[in-house]
Amino acid sequence: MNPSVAASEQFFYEQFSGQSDFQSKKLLIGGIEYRLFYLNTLIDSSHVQEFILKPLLSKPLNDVREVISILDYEETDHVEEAVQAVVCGKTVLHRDGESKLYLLGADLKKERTINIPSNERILRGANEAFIENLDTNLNLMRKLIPSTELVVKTYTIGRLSKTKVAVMYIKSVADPSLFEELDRRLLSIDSDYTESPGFIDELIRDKKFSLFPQLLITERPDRARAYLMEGKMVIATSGSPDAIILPVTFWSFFQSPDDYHISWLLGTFFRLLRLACFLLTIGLPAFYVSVSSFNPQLLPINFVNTLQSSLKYVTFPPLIETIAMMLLLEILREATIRLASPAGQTIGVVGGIVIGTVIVQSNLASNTMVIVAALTGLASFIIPSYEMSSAVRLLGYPAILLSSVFGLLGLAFFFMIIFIYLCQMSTMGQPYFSPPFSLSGIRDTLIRSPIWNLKKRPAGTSPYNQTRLRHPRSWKR
Amino acid sequence: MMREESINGRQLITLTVMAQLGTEVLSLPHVGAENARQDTWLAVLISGVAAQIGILLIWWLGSRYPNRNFYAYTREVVGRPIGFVLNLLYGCYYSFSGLLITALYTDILKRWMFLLTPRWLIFLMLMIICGYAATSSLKRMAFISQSFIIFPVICFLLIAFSGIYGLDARNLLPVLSHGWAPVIKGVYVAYSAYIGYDLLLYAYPYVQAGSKKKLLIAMSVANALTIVFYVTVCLVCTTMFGQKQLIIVPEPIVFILKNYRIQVLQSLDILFLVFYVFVVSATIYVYFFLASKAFVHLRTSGLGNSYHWVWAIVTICFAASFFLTKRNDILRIAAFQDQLSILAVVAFPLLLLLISGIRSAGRHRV
Amino acid sequence: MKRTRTVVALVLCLFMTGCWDQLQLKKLLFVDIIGIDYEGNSKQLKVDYVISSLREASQGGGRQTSLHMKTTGTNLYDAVSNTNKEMPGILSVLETRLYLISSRFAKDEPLRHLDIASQFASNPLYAYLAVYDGDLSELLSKKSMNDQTVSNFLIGLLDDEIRRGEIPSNKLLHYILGGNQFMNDFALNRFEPYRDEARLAGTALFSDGRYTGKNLNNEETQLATLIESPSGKNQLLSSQRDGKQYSVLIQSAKRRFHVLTNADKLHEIEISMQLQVKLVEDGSEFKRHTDKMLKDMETFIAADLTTRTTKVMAALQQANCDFLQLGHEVAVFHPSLYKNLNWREQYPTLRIKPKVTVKILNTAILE
Repeated sequence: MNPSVAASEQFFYEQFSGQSDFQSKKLLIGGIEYRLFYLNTLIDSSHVQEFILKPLLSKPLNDVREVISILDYEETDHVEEAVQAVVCGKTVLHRDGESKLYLLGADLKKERTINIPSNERILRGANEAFIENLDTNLNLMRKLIPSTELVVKTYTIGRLSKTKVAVMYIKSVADPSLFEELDRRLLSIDSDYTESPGFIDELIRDKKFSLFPQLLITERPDRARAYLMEGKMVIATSGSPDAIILPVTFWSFFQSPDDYHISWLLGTFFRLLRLACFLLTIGLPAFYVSVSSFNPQLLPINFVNTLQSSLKYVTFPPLIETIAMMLLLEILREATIRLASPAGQTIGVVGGIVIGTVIVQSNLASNTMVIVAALTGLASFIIPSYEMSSAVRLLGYPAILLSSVFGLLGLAFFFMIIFIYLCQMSTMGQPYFSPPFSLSGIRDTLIRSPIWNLKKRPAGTSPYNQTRLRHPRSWKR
Repeated sequence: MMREESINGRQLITLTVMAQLGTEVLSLPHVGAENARQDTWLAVLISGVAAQIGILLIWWLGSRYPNRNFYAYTREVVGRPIGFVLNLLYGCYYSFSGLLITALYTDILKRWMFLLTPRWLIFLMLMIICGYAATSSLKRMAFISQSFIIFPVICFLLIAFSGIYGLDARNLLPVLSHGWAPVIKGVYVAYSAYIGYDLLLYAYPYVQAGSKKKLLIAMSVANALTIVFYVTVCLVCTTMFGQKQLIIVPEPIVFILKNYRIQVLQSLDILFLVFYVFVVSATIYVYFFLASKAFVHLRTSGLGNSYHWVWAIVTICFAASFFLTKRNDILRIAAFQDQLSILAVVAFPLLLLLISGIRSAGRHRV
Repeated sequence: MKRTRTVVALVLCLFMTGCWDQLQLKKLLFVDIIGIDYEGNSKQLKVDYVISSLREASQGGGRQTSLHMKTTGTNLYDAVSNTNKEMPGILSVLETRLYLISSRFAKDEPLRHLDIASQFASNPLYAYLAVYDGDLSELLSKKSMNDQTVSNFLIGLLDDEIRRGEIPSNKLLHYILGGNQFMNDFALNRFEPYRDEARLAGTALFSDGRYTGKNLNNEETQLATLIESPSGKNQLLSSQRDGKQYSVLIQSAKRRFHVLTNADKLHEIEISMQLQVKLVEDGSEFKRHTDKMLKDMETFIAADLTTRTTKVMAALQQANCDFLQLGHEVAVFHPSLYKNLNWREQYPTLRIKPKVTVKILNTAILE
C-alpha cells in the first residue's frame, strides 16, 4: 500500500463518499503527520481522546504499538481491510511514511443490561436471559461452563450484514460428526443478511415444509447449558437474544427448566400434563365436531340432551361454529401480543365479556363450544415452547376438517398422519420422534426421572461419552 | 442395493404383533363358531402353535442367509428365472393381501358407521395413509408401529374387562363335543389370523437382537402375545354369546363393547371401531412395504425405488377396490387369500428350505 | 416434492368430500323408551316413543321434558317411517334405554319383531327390556311421574332395583337373535299400573321367547334373582317366626347346582344355597343373642327360605320357564344323558330340591 497519508485519505474518501458521519482527522504531532479515520457515530470519543490521542501526544516519536495501550489492537497493510474495520466501529490510524494501518478498537458500546427472561418464565432457577450482544451472551455461557471443553466457533454470515454467529458445543461430549454436519450447513448459507433465529432455522432445517419446530429456541443460558451437557449444540447470533439449540427431538419441546427444580414426581406429572395437552389441543375441537355431528351416542342420554339443548338455537353447523371460535381465539391471542401492554387489559374485557357471554346469548355459538375453545387455548399455552404451541394449534384445523367428514374416524386418520409424519422426520440425521419404548427411552421424555437416575446422556447426540453422573448418592453407603 | 437401518428385538416384536393383528379380531369368534362351535378358543390356540412352527421354519431359512433378505436370496436358491417369478408372486401376494384387508375393514366401517359415505373415499383415505407409512424405512415403520401399539392394548383391555358384564363359563363346555374334526377345520380357518409373522422373511438380516436365538425368542414372544389376544377375544365372545347368536353376528366384539356404560361415556363400540383403524393399518402398511420391497428386488441391482413402487401399488389397489363392493365377493376372495397365504407363508419357504438344504448337502458331498 | 404430492392429494380429497353421514344434533329426536303393542285386535304394531330433551336450557338451567308419540306399522321399520311423515326431525334410537312391551304382544312372538332392532347400526342393544301389564300409550303419554319424566322414572326404577339385587337385569341383546343363553327362557321385569303411575310388580315368565302368562311376585322375584345370580347386595329378606317379625340383610350368597343321576336317568337337581346374613331385626325388643339362639335362628331361617324357594321353583316349573338354565347345567355336565332327554317335557316334572343354609354373621350395629 501507499505509505503516504494523503493517498490513504484519498482512498477512504472514495469509499465513504457522501457519508456525513465519516471523519478523517488530521493530526500533526512532533512533526509527523497522522490521520485518524472513523465513523463518528460508532466511536466513543472520550475513549479515543483518552487512549489514543493522549498517549500519542505524550510520546510522539515512539513506536505506535508501544504508545497505544488498547487491547483491541491490530495492524494491517490492506486498505480495504481498514475500510471494513471502520464500518465495524474501529478507529484507523495512519502514520505518514509507514505502509501499514493501525486498527484500534474504541467503539461505542451500546447494550442493554442483562434482564430476566420475559418469554420463558419459570419459578425456580436462574433468572438471566441472553441479550442482543453476542459477546455478552458468550460471556454468560463461558461463565456457566468455565472449561476448555466448551468450544466456541464463530462464523460470519451475510454478505452485507456480516452477522457474527457462534456455535458452541462441548468437545468431549458432543458427537463430532454432528458438528461437521452443522458446520457444512452453516457455511452453505450465502445471503445478504441474516436474522436469527428465523433465517438460520429455515436455512438449516431438515424438512422444509414441516410445521413442527425442529430447533429449540431459548433465551435462557441455563437451558442452553443443560442441552450442551447432553451433547447438543447451541447457536448464538449477534443481534438476537435467542439461542438455537439443536438437534432436538420432539420430547424436548415438552421439557421445561422448572421440571428439574421440583420433585421428580411433580415434574413427571407436569410433563404428562403437557403431553396430554398436546393431544388435547389437536383433538378437542375435532372431537367436539365429531361428537356433535357424528357420534352423539358416545355420551349418555342426559349428557347428550344438555349438549343438544345448548346447540338447539345455534344457527351455524358445528364445523363453522368451531372454526370460527378457534379463529377468534387466535385473533385474541395475536392481539394480546401486539397490543401495547397498558392496553392489554382491554383484551381481557373484550375476550371475556364479548366472546364468553354475548356470543352465547346471541346464539352464535353454543355454551359448550365456548368451553371447548377456551380449553383448547389454555391447553396449547401449557406447552413450554412457543413454536410448538402455535404449531399444535394450527394442526387443529385440518383435524376439524377431517372429522367433519369422517367423524371420530377422521380424527383417528389425522392422528395417524401426524404420527407417521413425526416418525419419518429427522433432524441432523437423528430421528425426530422415537416412541419411548424402553426404560431408558422414557427416562427424560415421557417422565422426568429422578436426577440420580439420569446417569447417561442420550445416545443420539452423545454416542461416545455417555456418563454424566457418577456414583449418585454414594454418601449413603 | 437398498440399505436398511437395523431394528432391535423390541421393535421386531411390535412390528410382528401389529402385523398379525388384523380384521380377524372382529370376525374370528364368528368364523370360529361356525366351524368349531364352543371349541373356538382351542382351535385358535392350536393354530397359534402352528404359527409358531411356521415362525421356526422362516427363522431356519433366514439363518441360512443371515446377511441378506428373502427377496435377495431367492434367486440364489432356485436360480435366476424362478427367483424372479417368485419375487413377482410375493409382490402380488402382498399387494393383494393389503387390498383385501383394506376392503374388509372398509366393509365393516360401511356397515357399522358410514352408511352414506362413499366406499371409495374411506378406501382412498386408508390407502393414502398406509401408502404414506409404507414409504418409510423398516426402522421408521417400527417407530410407527410402536406409536400405535397403545391402541391394541386399549382394545385388549376393553375386551378383557367386558367380562365383568357377566360371562357364562358353561358356554365353553363340553370340550370337544363333536370330536377333533371341527376343531381342525377351525385351526385352518384361524391360521390366517396369524399371518403377518412372515415379515421375518424380509426383516431377518436387519434385526440386531444379539444372537440368532434371541431373534427367535423375540418372534416367539410376539406370537405368544398375539395368541393371548386372540384366545381372550374368543373366550370372551363364546362365554358372552349364545352359539346361535355367534353364528348370526359377524362382529360379536362390537356388540360386546356396546355393553360398557360409564357415567360420561357409552357405546364404546364406536371408539373401538375407530381405534381399530390403527391396528388394521399397521397390517396394511407392512404388507405394502413388503410388496414394494419384493418388486424392488426383481432385479439384483434394484428395480426402481420402493417409494414409487408403493404409490404404484396403492394406485392399483385403489382402482381394484371399485370392483370389490359386494360383501359376499369380498368374503369369497378372503377365503381364496387364506389358501394363498398358506402357500406363500408356509409352502414356499418350506420348499426353499428343502432346496437350499439339498443343495448345500450336495455341495458338501462333492 | 414427495411430501407436497401427498399433501396435495389429501387436500384434494378433502375438497371433494361432503358430509354424508353427518347428523344434525339439533334435529335429532332421541327416543328414550320404545313401547310396543298390537293395535287393537290386528297384527299391526302400535309403537309408542318417548323422546327426551332438555327444554329452556339457559346458563345453568334447563327442564327435562319428554314427548310422547304414537304410530302404527307392520314392523318397527314401518312404524318409524310412518312417524317420519307425522313429525319433523330425525328419530334416533342411538340413546334408547328401555324397550317396553305389552303383555299381549309378549304372548305372541315378541322376539320376531325385536330381532330387527339389531339391524339398526349403532343401536344400543343393551337397552332394558320389560313388560307392561296395561295400556302402554296411556302410561307413556304421561307428562311426568312423581315430578320426573316418564323415562327417567321407569328407567330409574329398574336401575336402582337392579343395583340392589332385587330384580334380574334384562338387556335386549340377551334375548334377541336366539338369545345368549342355552334355553331362551327368562323372566322379564314387569310393570303394572299403580294409582296414577306405574310400579314394578315382579317378573313375567318367558318360555322359549314367549310370555307364558304366569308371573312371579316381587318376593318370589327377589328369591329367583338371588338363585340365578347370587350376590350379596344387602337384599332384605324378612318374614315371621312365631308371630314375631325378623329381617336379615344378605351379605354374601353362594349357589351350586347338583345334578343327581340315577342309572342314566335324571333323578333330581339339588340347588344348594349358602347365605351369609346380618340379622337386623328379631322381634320387637332387643336382646342379647346367645350362640344357641343364633343357631336356632339360622336353622329356622334356612328352613323358611327352603320352603319359599321350593315354591318359586314350582312356579317356574309350572310355567315351563327354565329361568335358572338348569338345562344348560345338565347338557354341559351330562351330555349323553341330555341327548336322550326332551328337556321341555322333562322340566316341569323334574324334582328340584333347594337346600338353603344360613349363617348369621352379626346383628348389625346393635348387639
